[in-house]
Amino acid sequence: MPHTAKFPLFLIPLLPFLGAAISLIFGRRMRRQSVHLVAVGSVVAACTVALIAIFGHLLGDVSLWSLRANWLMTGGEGAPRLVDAAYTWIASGSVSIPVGFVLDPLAAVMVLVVTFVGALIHIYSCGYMAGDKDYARYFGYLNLFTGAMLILVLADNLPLLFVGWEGVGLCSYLLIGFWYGKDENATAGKKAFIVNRIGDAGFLLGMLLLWAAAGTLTFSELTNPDIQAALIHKTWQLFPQAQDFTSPGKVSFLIELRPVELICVFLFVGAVGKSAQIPLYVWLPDAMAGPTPVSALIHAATMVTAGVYMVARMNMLYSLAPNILIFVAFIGAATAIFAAFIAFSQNDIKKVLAYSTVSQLGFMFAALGTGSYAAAIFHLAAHAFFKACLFMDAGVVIHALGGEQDIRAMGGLRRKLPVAHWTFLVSCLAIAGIPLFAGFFSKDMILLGTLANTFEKQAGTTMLTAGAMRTVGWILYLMLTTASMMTAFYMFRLYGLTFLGEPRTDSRVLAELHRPSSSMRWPLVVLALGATLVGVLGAPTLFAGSDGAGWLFLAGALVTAAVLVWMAFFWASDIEEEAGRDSSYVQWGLIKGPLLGAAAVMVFVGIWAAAGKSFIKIWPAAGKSFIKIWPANWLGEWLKPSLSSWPIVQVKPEFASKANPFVASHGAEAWTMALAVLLSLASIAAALWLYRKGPNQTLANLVATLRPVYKASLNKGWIDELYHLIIVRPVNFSAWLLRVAVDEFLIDKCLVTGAAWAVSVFGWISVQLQTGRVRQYIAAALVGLAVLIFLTTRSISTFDVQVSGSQVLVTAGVKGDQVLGVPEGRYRTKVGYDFNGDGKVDTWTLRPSQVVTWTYDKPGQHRIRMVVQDPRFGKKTSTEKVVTVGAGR
Amino acid sequence: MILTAIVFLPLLAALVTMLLPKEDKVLLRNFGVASTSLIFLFSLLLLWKFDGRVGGMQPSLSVNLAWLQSLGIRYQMGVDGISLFLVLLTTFLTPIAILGAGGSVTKRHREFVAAMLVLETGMLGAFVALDMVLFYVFWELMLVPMYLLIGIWGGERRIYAAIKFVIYTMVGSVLMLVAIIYLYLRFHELTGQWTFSLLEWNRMVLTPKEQLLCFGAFALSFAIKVPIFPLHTWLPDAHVEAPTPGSVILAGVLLKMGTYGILRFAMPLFPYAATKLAPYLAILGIVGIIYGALLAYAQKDAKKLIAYSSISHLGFVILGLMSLTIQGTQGAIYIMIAHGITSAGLFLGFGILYDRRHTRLMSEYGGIWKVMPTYSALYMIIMLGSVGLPGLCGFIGEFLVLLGAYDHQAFVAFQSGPVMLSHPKLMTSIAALGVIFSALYLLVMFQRIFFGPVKHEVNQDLPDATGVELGALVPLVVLVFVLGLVPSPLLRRMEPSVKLHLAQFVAKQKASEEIAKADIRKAFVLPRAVLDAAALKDPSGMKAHKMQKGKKFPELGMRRGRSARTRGTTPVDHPQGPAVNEAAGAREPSRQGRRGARGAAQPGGAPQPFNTITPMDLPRGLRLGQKRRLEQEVRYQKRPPLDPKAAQGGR
Repeated sequence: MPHTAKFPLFLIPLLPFLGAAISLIFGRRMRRQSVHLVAVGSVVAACTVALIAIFGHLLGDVSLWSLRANWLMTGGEGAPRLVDAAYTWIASGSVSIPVGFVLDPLAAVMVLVVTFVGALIHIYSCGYMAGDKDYARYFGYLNLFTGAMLILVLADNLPLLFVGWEGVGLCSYLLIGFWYGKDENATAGKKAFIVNRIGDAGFLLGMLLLWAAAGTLTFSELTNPDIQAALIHKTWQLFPQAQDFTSPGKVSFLIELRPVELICVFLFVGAVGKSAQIPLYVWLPDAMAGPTPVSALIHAATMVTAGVYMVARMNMLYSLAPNILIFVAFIGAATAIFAAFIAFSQNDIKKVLAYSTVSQLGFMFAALGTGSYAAAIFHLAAHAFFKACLFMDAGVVIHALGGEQDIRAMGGLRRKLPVAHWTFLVSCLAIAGIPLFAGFFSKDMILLGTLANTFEKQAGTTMLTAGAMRTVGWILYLMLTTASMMTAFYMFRLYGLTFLGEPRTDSRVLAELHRPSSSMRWPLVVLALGATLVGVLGAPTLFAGSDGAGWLFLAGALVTAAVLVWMAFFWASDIEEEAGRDSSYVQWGLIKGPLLGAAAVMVFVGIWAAAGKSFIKIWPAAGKSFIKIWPANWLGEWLKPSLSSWPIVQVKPEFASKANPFVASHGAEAWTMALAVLLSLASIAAALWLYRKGPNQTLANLVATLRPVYKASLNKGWIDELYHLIIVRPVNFSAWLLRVAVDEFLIDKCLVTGAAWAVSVFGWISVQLQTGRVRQYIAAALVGLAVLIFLTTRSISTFDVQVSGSQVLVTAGVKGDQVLGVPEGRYRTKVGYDFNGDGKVDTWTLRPSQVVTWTYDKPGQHRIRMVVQDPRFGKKTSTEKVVTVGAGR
Repeated sequence: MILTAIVFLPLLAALVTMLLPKEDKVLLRNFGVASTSLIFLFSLLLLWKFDGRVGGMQPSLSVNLAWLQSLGIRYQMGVDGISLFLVLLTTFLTPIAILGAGGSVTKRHREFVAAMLVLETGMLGAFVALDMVLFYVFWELMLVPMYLLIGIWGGERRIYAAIKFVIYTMVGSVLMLVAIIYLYLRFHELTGQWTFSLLEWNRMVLTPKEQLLCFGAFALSFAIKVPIFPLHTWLPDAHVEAPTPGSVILAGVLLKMGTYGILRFAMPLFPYAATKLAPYLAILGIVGIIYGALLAYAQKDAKKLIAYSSISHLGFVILGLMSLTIQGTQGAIYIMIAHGITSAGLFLGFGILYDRRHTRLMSEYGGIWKVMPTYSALYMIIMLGSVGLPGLCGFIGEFLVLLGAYDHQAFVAFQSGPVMLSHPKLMTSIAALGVIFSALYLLVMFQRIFFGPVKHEVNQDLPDATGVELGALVPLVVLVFVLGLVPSPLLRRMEPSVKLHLAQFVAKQKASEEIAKADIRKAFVLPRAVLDAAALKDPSGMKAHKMQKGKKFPELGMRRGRSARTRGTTPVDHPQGPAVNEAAGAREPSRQGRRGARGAAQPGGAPQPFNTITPMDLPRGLRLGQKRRLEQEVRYQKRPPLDPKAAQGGR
């Protein structure tokens, strides 16, 4: 049983919400400094509370010497979780949804990313938004966003998660449309919200299905083996009527679904919407209409990762649905490639980064789909650092050039904006997967995950055979490797066009370049540092575990350190060049110090890793403690309790072994890694060679050769146009048609007004009849009387025959006689029956409803005739029926 | 006493307005706001006196006095968890509506305030009345001031809209009146008691045919009021032409009258019909959700858009009610309240803009946020509440309704029917898509009015919301948050009543099923104990429902105490004499033995007094001719239908 403790976790989201409330309500009357203080302060405070929770409780006893928890190495059992239940939110019948929070390692990673990166972006925004009129509103929204995101990651049940889920969508809407004065921005915001809502509808359906199938929406209860068994075994028939079409016992996948599969699909639809995957990614590139820090925070670092987090959080369900996991993986891999393809030719600096984000999220989903939840979260955390950094660099560039976003009009900014340049370069290296930068480890973990043999073990639980699963793994690997190669290319294309070569900017703009203020520079450096060092947390077993491989790691660390030192000194020379122009701008130590520090850490960690195993031979105790302190895949181990220690149902043990996908041989690990690095380096070299001097003849020739491909990439695959054609226009048209044809014409004109018209026509006719001539009235009355008499005295008879054996029971029903209420006797309608077919009535009855019984001697067909004698007119009417009588008893 | 005071204080205030100067706008407005606010504060007493642990009508708050004794009409009113918050919503919205009248009321101020006050009495009365005549009086009383509000203070086509509104509503009410009179006679026929009391009528179990007809009459009347697609076209006209306070009250309270009526009257009185027709009504609700949303999306006129959004939201309410689950019903009531707040807010907010520009076309606005930031921010919150953003008031109800509808009990009956009917999950999924559309039309509206550049010069210097306008808007905004964040105080108070309501519904429904199964055209009246027992035995109401298939109605066992006594001893007066008695006696041992054993096993199973017939007394599988004859004989001999043995026939 995981150890659970109480902690006032509600404070973590509450603080930003309070900040938002203050900024939004009183903001217009507050001074800028106070707004800063409230906005940044609330997020920093939330971060502090989170750190206290994590380090004070979640990590157990933390000593300075060994930064580890008691349970850290063991993973699994004994993993503490912090819980908090504020109050019951919704309660109705058997539904009870508390405002409950839970902080486990998974949530802890997310909380740290959100509050830490969030705080940096808040600080950055102080500089970026300095000139804006609606300053307080901006910070209010940003705080609101942080709060919603924290609700999302801390929630202990799906509906509460949904509050954050929609909350971040709302803030995204508000912030994209922050400069609402332009219609395009407002439209982009609306588009984001609506596309997200499509996903949210899927999410809602997933929740409803889960409720219907499991009866609970709380995460910790979903690990209950009984509930999991119910989710697996019970099948829902999509179309019970269609069962006839399938042979019994063999029901096709489409007809019968296990609930868990359906639930996972619908939840994934939500994730697709929020995390901008195919086919709902279209909103994210348009979302770049918002202020750049917003793009960094919401559309790169946090909100868009919510889908990844949610799937990881629901891993106990996804692990039960391997079919769906394969689907998730392919959607992710396809998105990774497709978005990278579009990013090749985009000319807006933010659009390139946006598509890059979509692509990287695709990587994360591919990781989730192969069961490497930890790799996805690792990549998420690393991505948060380098992508936020990239966006904020882009923000510095845009800010400096007075709003210019077209990279064709940039170039040569290396010297002008050194801090942005170097941090951008570090982040590019990280995203391209250059060894020992953050992206290298996380991407490698994802690639390896596709090939890890645990993925094959799912065979048998899916539709696929073992061989097919192996093929699936290989296909995914190839797709992701291609995507990662493409990533390196387009990122360095961006880097080359923006920072290298000669300036192509208008010289006037260049002359009055807006220098980033210090509040904009500091966060960049911190993020770049993060992008460098975060990867070490998840360094795989190859580097840390095996004998001798630690030395390889040391070599890598030395190379990285060398790169960082090189950067630091080159930057220094840039600074010196700049110093002559604007000495106030120069802060020598700003980057140089941290880069040197990062280099030192790299070297230290490298030595540590290398020393670890080697020490064991010389000095076992020390060697072991070395390895303990910095184990392989530290992050993965830490996340384990959240991601795999859920007591997975034992029905199909194959799922359970998905816990640690990193059991591939070190050989495979080494060659995948080497290949990835080689391909990345090749891509970088190609990109730099092509783009280092800005647009040139070689490029023009290349584009001319690949014209159709280039066009497709430039026009984003015409997907927006396609959606417009097949979704937007039909919806608009059908709405219009409903209004004009159905509502206004059919219902209102024809039926409603028509009814009124019919009444008035009736009234008109009545008026015409009202002539005032007594003769006409009398004539009408007489006719009416005649009709009335005829109707009420008419004998309408029914004739029921029941056969039992040789016996016949006959009943007649005569209406006319009932209406008049004539007493029995002479004047009453008589009913007679002729059973033997001799033409004469055999039995007369005065009570028509009386049952008359007749027994036949011989079986066979007999003709029964009923005669009704009407006393008023002496008229006889007869009806005949043929019955078949059986033998007597 | 409290109820009487709450209901009639507005009427008193309306009389007082007659003493005030005719055209002193400010004084009249202040008087209206002050008096209705006081009534609101007074109505909070209800909340204080309300015992949230018990379901059903609160004994401490009920009124039951003689009124027209000769006809059995009583002055009977009561409040339970279902009506409590609708009463509070009414008293809350009235002062806000008067306050928000703004520039839309430019003449006859005294009459305006008086009309609003009379309207409040009508609405409150309809929510608390338990005597059907009393209810009908209040129901019709609401029409008059609303008619005047639209017809006198409305827009250009006000006469058309007002007449359409009144005629449409009248058509439905007349049918309801006929059904009420029928029930009145029927109840007398069954019990010999003349009464219009809903609580008494609730015991009456009518035959399937009667139920279907009467339910049709009631439901049509209420469906027009809701309005359910396709009876909705009066609504956009009425909303568009009504002055702001009229729209606020119309959308905020009057529409709920329809759904409340279905829940309070149509469902418990005719449970068989309600269950049989539930899937169809639910489908109409779902159609309404999507249709209303698409229609709203297609509008150019902002008020029309909001009006159609009401159709969409009330579709959710219908779906929830027809789900026949606790979550669905509670969700439906919650949506009624939340929609009361948000739609009132949307109309009120747009009224503020309308007062400045006198146009409803969205294309005439744009960029309003720039000129009226405070107002726009408040409006956005209300808009988001209406969109159903989690954490704001709109979400709770929708979520509960969808949860409930996913477990749709009524659809089970259609398991072998057409695909669409037999799949509550499929149907509810379509309803869930409504959340996409609700975002679509409201965001489009918001963008057209508030975002973008200021397109028209006139809009350049519109003043931001004044203090009075803020005073009307801010309480709504606060409630949008409060209802979204802490719904449990409301849900908690509703729950016992909803549970009881459903349990009794289920008990009656099963009794009706018995009638339908035996194919006996005979109504009867349940002893009150049965309904109480249904609630006691099965507080969730769900157990009974699950047992529905294949099992007999267990609660009817309550009657065995007496029937066991009578069967053996009382000579039965029957035309066919001993034969019938023999027949009855012949099947007695098996049945009675079984029942007797069960009865003995029941703790404290004291025999309940029981003086009415139940289907159990009737033999099954009667042959056609015999049955028909039997019925005739009953009629000819003027046999009182209450006689337990009257309908027994021999074999």
